[in-house]
Amino acid sequence: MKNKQYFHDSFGGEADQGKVADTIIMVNNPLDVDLLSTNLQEIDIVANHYEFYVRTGSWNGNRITLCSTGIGGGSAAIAVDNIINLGGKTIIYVDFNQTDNHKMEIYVGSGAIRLDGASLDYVSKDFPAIADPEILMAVLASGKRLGYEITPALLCPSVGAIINDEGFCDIHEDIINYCSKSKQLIVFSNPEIATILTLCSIYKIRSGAIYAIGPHSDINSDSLNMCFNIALTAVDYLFSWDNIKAKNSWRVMTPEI
Amino acid sequence: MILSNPFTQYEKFGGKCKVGDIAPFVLAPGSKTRVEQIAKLFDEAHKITDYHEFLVYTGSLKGVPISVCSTGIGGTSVAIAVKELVGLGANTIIRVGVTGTLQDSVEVGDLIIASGAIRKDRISNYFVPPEVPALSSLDTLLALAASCQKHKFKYHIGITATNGSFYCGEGRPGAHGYTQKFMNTIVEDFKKSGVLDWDTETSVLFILGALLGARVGRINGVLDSPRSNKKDPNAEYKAVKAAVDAILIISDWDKRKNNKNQLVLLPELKQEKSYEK
Repeated sequence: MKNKQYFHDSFGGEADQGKVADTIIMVNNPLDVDLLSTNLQEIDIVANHYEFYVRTGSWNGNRITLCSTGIGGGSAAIAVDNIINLGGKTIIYVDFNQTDNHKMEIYVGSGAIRLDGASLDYVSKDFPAIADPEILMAVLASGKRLGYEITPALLCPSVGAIINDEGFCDIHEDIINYCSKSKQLIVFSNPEIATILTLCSIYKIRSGAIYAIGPHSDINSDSLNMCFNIALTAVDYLFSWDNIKAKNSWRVMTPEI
Repeated sequence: MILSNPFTQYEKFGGKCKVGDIAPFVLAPGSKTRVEQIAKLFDEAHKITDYHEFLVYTGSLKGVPISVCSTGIGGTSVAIAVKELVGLGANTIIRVGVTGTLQDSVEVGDLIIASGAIRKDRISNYFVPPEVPALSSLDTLLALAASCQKHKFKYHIGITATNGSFYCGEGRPGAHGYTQKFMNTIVEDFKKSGVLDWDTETSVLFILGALLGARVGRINGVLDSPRSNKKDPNAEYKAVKAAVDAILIISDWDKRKNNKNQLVLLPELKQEKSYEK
């Protein structure tokens, strides 16, 4: 049954309860949702509302939902609130950006800097945007299994770079100073990551982000598929770890002791 | 620190557009669906690109070149759209959408023209300090009003509130009924300060448009009201019709101005004067 009190609820009333899986993979581009869903079987089109394209399919015997957030925190907040109300319990965001770098670099977010705008409507700016440690470990394990080098990093929205040729603006200066003193690796990325991590931290939903940057290529979809496969492999680890935790009554999966 | 700019990928809408693809006059709704509805009102229109949430058509109406581009929801995607549209040739951008109203004096089905916007989006803070006001251009405001008067649509002019988010930013609960105390007063505080409606885009359009030298405006149709169950599905069509005709009005006014620097065409005066910018 669709529950629609406000305009964007249930993605404009298009999404039924029960059509969204527990595990969600989010991307920002709605046009990438149908591209990536070719990796899944038994696809169900759940919604096509504004920039929110939602598909649910099967992979390795598990149901996965793909959902686009659009660019930025404003739209990402709508996507997160609705996907959680519809049943989402684990969210992994994936994105690939072309840059002038000449080699591929893959990062997994340890947290995000809250320069997204939207999350301030939900909680004060002191509240941290933290990635779930199990997702972080699962992504690193996934990289190891698939042969990719993945590095944890703090992800920083670079919205000011829309009009600043240097790539960042004054607001980032303090952050840059902090990072060089603390030797923390920080990577400019999309603002929707900060929104997703903050909201999921509030709602106690597991969330994480995989962010890759690499050379310009006509075969952009291969790079995005690579990130998606890393996320799917991470989901495999999460499913098996959830079973182990349930059997042992553990709250969180840890390395062996 | 990795300083590569992820926003370069959006330039020229993913490199799919060139100067000349975008007309000087642009309508900017939020959704792709609305773009296709608007393009059908043109005498002719052809698709320029479909990239991320940005669906762009360019065509003409009564000889006036006009484009329509969806911006998606929220300040970030609007900022990208405005920057790219202006870089590709736009000099006038009018946002058209739907909203709910905060004031008892505004009825479902009315149209709201924004004269300015409260900057709770926080994205525009990247560009200028928050004290700088987000204002509609005078030309577009007057053209939208003239268009509403021509069609005898009931309309209001006033301040809109642009928030960072649709749910908590506008006092609605987040997932699983999430609320915070500071959300409880949002609606009442806006209402008391005379705010007519709200969205998540207008202040970014106004601030960035001004920075880049473009004329900007915004008109919304009141789809529903939090105080009643009334809905008016025609509100969207009325806003679109008013915005499309406002473009034709501005185009005509531009031709009638004494010179390019004239700020605005004035109503008839006893003695004709031209007012320099």
